[in-house]
Amino acid sequence: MRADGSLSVQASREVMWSRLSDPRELERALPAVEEVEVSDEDSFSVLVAPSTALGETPLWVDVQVAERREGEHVRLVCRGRGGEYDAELALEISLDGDGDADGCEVRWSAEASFNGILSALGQRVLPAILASQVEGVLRAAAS
Amino acid sequence: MTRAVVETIESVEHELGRYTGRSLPRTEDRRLLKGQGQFVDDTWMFRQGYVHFLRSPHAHANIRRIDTSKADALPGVYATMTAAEMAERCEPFFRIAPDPAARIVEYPLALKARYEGDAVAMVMAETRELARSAAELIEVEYEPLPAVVDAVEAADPRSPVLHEEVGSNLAWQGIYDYGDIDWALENADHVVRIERLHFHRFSSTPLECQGALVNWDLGTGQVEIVSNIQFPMFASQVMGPSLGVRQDQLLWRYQDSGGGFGNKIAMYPQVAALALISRKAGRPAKWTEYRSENLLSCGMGNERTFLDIEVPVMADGTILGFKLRAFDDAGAYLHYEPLGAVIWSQVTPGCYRFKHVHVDYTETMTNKCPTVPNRGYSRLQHLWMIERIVDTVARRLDFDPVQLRKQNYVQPEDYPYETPNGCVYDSGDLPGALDKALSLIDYDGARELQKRGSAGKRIGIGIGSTLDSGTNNFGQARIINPDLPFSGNGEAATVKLDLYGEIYCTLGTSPTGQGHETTAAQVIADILRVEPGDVRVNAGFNKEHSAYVGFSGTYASQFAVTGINAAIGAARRLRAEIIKVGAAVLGCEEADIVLDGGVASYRGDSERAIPLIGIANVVYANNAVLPPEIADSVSLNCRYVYRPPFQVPDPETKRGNLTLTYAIQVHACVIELDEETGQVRILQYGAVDDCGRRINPQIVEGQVHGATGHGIAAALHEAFNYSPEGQLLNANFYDYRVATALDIPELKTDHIESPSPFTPNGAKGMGEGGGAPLATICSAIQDALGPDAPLVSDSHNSSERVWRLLRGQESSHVDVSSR
Amino acid sequence: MAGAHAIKVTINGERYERTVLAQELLVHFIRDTLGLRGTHIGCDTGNCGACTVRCDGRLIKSCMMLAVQADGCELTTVEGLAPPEAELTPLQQAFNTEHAVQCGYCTPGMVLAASYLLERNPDPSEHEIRRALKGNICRCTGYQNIVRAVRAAASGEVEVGV
Repeated sequence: MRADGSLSVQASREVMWSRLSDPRELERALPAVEEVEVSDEDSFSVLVAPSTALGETPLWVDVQVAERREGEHVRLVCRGRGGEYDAELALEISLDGDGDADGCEVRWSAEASFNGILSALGQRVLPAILASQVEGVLRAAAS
Repeated sequence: MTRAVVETIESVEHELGRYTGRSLPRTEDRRLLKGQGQFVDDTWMFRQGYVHFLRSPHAHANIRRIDTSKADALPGVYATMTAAEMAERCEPFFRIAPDPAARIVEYPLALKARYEGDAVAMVMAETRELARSAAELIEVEYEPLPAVVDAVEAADPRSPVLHEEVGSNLAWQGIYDYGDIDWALENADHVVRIERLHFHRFSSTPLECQGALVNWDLGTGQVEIVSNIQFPMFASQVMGPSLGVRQDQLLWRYQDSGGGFGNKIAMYPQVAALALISRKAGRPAKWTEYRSENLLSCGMGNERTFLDIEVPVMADGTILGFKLRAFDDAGAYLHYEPLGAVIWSQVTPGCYRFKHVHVDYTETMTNKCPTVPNRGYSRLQHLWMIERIVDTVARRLDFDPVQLRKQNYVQPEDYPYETPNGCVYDSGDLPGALDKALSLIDYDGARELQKRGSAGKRIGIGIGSTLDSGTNNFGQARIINPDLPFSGNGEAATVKLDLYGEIYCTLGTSPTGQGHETTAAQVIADILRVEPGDVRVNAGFNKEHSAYVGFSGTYASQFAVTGINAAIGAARRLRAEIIKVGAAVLGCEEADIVLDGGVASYRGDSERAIPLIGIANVVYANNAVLPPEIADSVSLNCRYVYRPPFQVPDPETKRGNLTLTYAIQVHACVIELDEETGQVRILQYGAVDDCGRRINPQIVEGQVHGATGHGIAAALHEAFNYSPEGQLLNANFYDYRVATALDIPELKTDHIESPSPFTPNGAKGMGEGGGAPLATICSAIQDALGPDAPLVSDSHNSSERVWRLLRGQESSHVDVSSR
Repeated sequence: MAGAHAIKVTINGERYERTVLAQELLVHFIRDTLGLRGTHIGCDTGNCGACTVRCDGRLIKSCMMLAVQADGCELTTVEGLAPPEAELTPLQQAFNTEHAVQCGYCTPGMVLAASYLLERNPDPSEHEIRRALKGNICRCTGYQNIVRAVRAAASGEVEVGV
C-alpha cells in the first residue's frame, strides 16, 4: 500500500539533513527510540519501544539507506518485526528550500507491505496510520 | 442397470402424529432471548489462564529459532509452549489420507509455518490482553519460503512443497469412472466443452467463534473440555491417541453454541494444544478465538476448479453425462480432508439421470488456511458445477432452461433411483419442485418484465436445482483410504423415566441452533402419549451423561434421521418397559395396557390405572411389590442406537450407497443488473424444499431461510481473497463482507413432502441446502447478460466481476461441436 | 497501578463502582467483571452488533467503547429488559412465536436493536426494519423471521405465554 505527503518544518534543510542522515542524531531526536546499532554508513538498526499500559513491546527496525543525494534526498528501506506481523517500508524523503533558511519543505512517499494480520487492513486503514507515523518522525527530527 | 436393492424399513409413522409435524415454538428460546444461554466464553473455571496463539505472518517459512524466555519472564504469564515442546509431549495426529499424504507429521503447534495464521507458539496468562502482549515478546526467526496459493499449480512437481515428508503437495488423487463417457462423447449429437469453472473459497462464519476451556486434572486424569466443537467424538478419536489418554478420560461438553455450519468440526489441534498447556501450567486453559483469528485460521470451505469439461448431449436434449478434471484446494493441513474428495460423489449426477460420468480428481495442499466442511460440504461445489453445465447446454444449444431440466431430472416414477456409482436417491418430485419455484417468482411475469426492458438495467431469471444428501455412510472414507476402520453411521439417545415419573432424554448430538431439544420432545411425546412440555431434553452435548457413539455430533444433514430415530427408538423401548410394569401391577396382559396422558390403564379404565410416577416408584424405590422376573428385566433407562442400513462401499470400483436420504431444494430468482456498476439486485427469490416428513415445519423453514441467506451472501458478497504471496487480504468483517438484513431479500418459500422409504419416520436430513442460491444467481446473471455474453464461470460474482462480464472482459471459453 | 481508573456505572438499574484498566473494552467489563454474559462478542471491528447495548438511551456497540468512557453512564443490557424469572416481553415473545431464534448468539443484540427501533417508530415497514437491523449480523436465520417477529411485535399480534 502507498501513502505520501508533504509538510513544512521550522528546521533548515541543512539541519533536517543532518538529523535524518545520522542515526545517532535520530536517536537523540526521537523519544521512542531506545537504542541504535550502526553496522556501517548505510545500514543501522533501531530499537523502538512504544509504551502500552501493560509495559513495553519492543520492535527492532532494520534500516538500509538505498539512495542518498547529499542534502536533498534519501531513500530508506526499513524492515520491522512485531510479534504477529512483518513489515517492509520503502520511504523516500526529499528536502526543498535554501540550505540555511529558517525552515524547509519535506516531501515524502512511502510504499509498505505487511505480512500477517495487519495485511488484511490494507489500503483502507493503514495509509492514515503510516502518514501520521512518518510525519511524527519528521516533526520530531525538526524540533 | 439394476434396480436398487431396498431394505424393508419398518415405519413408525403411525405412532407419530399428535405433535410430530407441528410448528411448536422452541423451548430453547427462553434462555437465549433472556441472555441466559451458556456459550463457551461464558464458562469459567477457577484459576483459569487465558491462551493466545502466536501465528505466523508468513504463508510459508521455516522456523530457524524460537525463544519464549522474555514472555516467560513477564509477571502474570503462567506458561508458554512451542511446537518443539509439543513434539516431545504428544504423538502426531492420526491421518485420514493414504500415502503419500499419510506421511504428514502434524502436532498441535507447527514446527514449520505453512500458511499465514499457522500457530507456532502459545502463551497462557492471567488476562487475555496480557497473553496477547506476552506473545509479542516471543522471538521467532522465520526463514520465508516461496508460497503456492493455487491448487492446480500446487500439483506441479516444481511448486514449493509444504510437507517435506510427503515429497509433493498431493493430498489425494483418483479417477471416478462410471458408464462409458468416451462412447457417449463419440456418439452424442453435440458436445459442449467448457474450459474452466471455479468454485470460490468462503465459509459460513458462525457469529460465535470457536472456543474451548480445557482442564487437565492431574489428580483424576480427567481432561475436561468445554468447547463448541461440532463433532466431538471424531475429535476425541483423533486426540486420545495423540495425547496418550483413554477415551474415558476425555470429557466433552458445552451447553449452547453460536452456530456451526460445519466450520467448527476440525478444532482438535487447538483443543489438544490447550490440553497440553493446561497440563503444563496446572491450570484450566481458556481460549476464545477472536474474529480475525477465526477468518485467518478456523477453516474455509472447499475451493474447487473444474477444467476441460466435456458434455455429450443428444439432439432431443438428453444430456448423457460429463467428463472433467477437478482440482480441490485442501489448504495447508488435512484436518478433515481429504474426505471431501469422495463426499461429492454422494450426488454424482446431481438431480439428473446422467449415466456417464468421468471425474479425474486431484486434491492438493497450498499455503492457505486449511479446508473444513462448510454448509453443503463438497456436494455444493459439485452440484453448482452441474447446474452451470445444464444452464450452459440450454443456452448454447438453444433449449428452454426449464424444459431441459425437467426432461433430464430424475422423474418421480424413477424412485428409488440408483445413480451410476450405486447411491440410491430415495424419493422426490423435482419437476414439481421446479414448477413451484417458478410460480413463487411469477416466472411468466418475470419474462414479460425482461422483454419490456429498462434503461441501464437488465433483468435475469435463474434456476438452481440441488440435493441435500443426508446421513452419510462413513464407509465412503475407505474409497479415500481402504485402511480406515470406519463404516455406517448412527446416533445414540437415552430416554428415561426419573424417580417421580419425569421423562428425560439425552442425545449424542451437538446442536448449534437446530432445535434438537424441541423436536426430540415432540417425537417422544408422541411415542409416550404425553405433552411435549412433559419431556425434558438435555441442552447441548455432554459425553459424561449422554449416550454416544463414534459418530456422535451434528453435521451432514442427519439429525431428523439419526438423532430423532435414536430418540424414537429409546422412547419405544421405554414404552415397552412401562407397559410391562403396568401389566404386572394391574394384573393383566400387556396387550390390554393403554398408555395415554401419563397414565397406564387396563383398556382405558381410569379406576384400574397407574400413573408414570407409580411406574417409577415400583421400579426405583418399591421393587418388592414387583414379580422378580419383571423387576430384573426393566431399568426405565433405555438406550437406543439408531443404525441406518448401510453396507461397506467398494473402494476398487468406487461404488456404494453413500448416503441414506436426499432432500431436494429448487430455487428460482429474478435479478436486476445495473449496466453501469455491475451491481445485482434480487427482485424475487423463491425456494422450494422437500425433506420428506417434517418434524417441525417452522424449524425446517428456518433452515431453508438460513441456508439461502448463506448462499446469497456467498454468491454476491463473501469470498476469501489471498494475495499471490499467500496473505489473506480480508481477515476481518470490514472486508469479508458478511450479508446484512439489507442484503438478503424477502424469501418466498414452498415445500413438498416426499417421505423417505428408508427412514422409520419418513424424514430426510436437511439444513445444508445444497448451496442452491449459488447456482440460481449465476444462472440469473448469465440470463441477464444475454446471448453472446461470456460464461459466468465463477461461483462468486461481485459487482466488479459482473461489470467485467458485461464488457466481455472475463471469459472461460465455451465451444460446441455438433454432428 | 498505571493505567487503572475508577468508574461508576449504572447497569440495568444497579449502580457499580469498579476499577478498570485504560484499554479494557466496555463489553469485557460487562461480561467478565460484572458477569452479565448475555452481551456477546462476534467480531473485532465493530461490524456484527452482537455486543449491542443501550447507553444513556442510545444504541451502541459495547466493543467500540472503552469501559472508562462509560463512567457516569446508564446502560441497559439484554438482562435488563425483564427480570430473570419473569415472562418474556412481547417483543421477545414475538421472536419465539415467529422462530426468529436459532443459535441465539445474535439474539440479545437483535432484540435491543429492534426495541430501540420500535420506541422510535412503532409501525415500521419491512424496509425500515431491515435498515434498523443492518448493524446486527445473523448467520442462521437469513433475517426473514427476525423481520417477521419485529413486524408482529409492532402490530401487536403476539401470542402470550411460553
